[in-house]
Amino acid sequence: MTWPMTWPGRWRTRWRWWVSFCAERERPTSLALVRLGVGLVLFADFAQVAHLGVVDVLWGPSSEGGLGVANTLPGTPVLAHAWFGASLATARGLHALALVSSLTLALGLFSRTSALALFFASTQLAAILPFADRGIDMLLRNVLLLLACSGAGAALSLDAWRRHRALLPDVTVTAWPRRFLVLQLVWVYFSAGLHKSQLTWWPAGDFGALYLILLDPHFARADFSSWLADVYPLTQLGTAATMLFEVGAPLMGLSLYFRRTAHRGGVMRSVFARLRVREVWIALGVAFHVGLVFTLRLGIFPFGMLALYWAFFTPDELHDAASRWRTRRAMTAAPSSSS
Amino acid sequence: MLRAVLRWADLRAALLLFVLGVSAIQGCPVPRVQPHQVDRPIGQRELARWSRILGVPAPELRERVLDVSAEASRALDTLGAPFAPFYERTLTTQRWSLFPLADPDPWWMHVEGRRVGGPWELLYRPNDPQHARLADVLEYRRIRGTWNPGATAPRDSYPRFVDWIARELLAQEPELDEIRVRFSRYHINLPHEAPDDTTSWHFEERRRR
Repeated sequence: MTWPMTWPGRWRTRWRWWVSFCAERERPTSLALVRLGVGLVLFADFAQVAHLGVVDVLWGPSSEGGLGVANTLPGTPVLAHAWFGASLATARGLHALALVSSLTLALGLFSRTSALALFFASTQLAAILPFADRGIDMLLRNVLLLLACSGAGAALSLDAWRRHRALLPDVTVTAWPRRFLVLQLVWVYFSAGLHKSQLTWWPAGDFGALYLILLDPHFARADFSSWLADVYPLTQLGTAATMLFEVGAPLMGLSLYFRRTAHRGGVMRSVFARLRVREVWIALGVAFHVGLVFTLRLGIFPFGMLALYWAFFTPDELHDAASRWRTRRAMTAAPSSSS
Repeated sequence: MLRAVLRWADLRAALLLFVLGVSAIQGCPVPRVQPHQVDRPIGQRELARWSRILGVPAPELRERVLDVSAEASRALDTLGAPFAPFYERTLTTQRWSLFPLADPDPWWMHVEGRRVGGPWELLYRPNDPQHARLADVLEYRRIRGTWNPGATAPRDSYPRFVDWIARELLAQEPELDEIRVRFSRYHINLPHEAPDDTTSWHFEERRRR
């Protein structure tokens, strides 16, 4: 006869499971691709600021024509102002730090330091002019903290080349940062879905939200007013798909759990596997963001989000896919080389 | 050595659980509805719709929503108070909204200039290729964030934005004497709705050379 586990025993078992889950390791490939994507997106954004010549007006002090008034607030909320003074030099210095550290992050040069430096620069620029800091900037700051705690620089990086003379060395890193990034993404979308309480996002509002947004002149990429009403049902479908994608994000989390525990079997696991919930959800997400690129002016938002999608794939999946592609290429080349 | 490794593993797991817990508190989707949000036109339309759906009179629904929101916000703020400084300093969050409101009454910025005694000439407005002065700068996301109004009012940075855009345009166009920035507001009808062509002007600011 087996005694039922006691309450403390049950919690001890769960704690041990959590400790071993946080200690699991994997190859750094997925995180490295996230690092590369985030670095490139932010570098492009800060380079665009320089190209447009608006560094001073965005982040300079109000006394020098800057748009923000942080330098006038008592007990300034901007650490950089407290340390270096509120000046054009500080603004340009912070921008330069953001530009350089985003590039070194992308290249994987002193990756953790680059991530932290970029995080610092980003927070200071946001504190100087909060209106110029958008949701994607806040999300990427969260990601930078994760990258700084991860082994994202251990592959596809100058750091990897310096240490191992290889871009994909045979090393492992802790897996929890990638998993936390997956959780972060699922939460971003679910939270966004929950905040869409306006009825035009729902059947009671005729699923009219996307139609209204595509006619907003400040965000629409072009003037769609001459023909958008003719494809109104398509916009309704787009609105419904957006809500399904966002509010359905926890199903994505569940599908990942089911994949990890596939050995337990069960109806739900086989239904999720048969419906390919994970693949469908990721495909919806990619389509959603690619659609945004072509229809709305949202800056780096769709690119920044897509840069994070590498986290949805385990490093083993990426390596297997790369192997299959190399094998297919070799098989395609073989007949011509043997004739 | 092994004991040190095991202790670090436990400490790491505890820290990560702590981070998840704090994030869950900060990101808890408690409604934070303010009276001015309910009282603006889009809020009134939503209130009327929900009142019909729920069968609750609109004034009563308004009071209930504000009361529940205030109580829930107070409770969550108390719970999250120890961690608030971190989020304030790092300007990070776990409350995310992507286009929570699809505004049927959008703003449309107009930047205009005129010579001394002359008529106003349109220089820039979004989605108008014929009037696209400084479009690449004005439509850059960070700059747009400083001039794109909220639901009922312009951003705090708006007057300084007008100062700056006026300086830029007057420097580039020596014959111009005055710059005007203002926003039209109009209604977008869904295809099945009765047309409403009402337009109004808001937030006008002028700067002279």
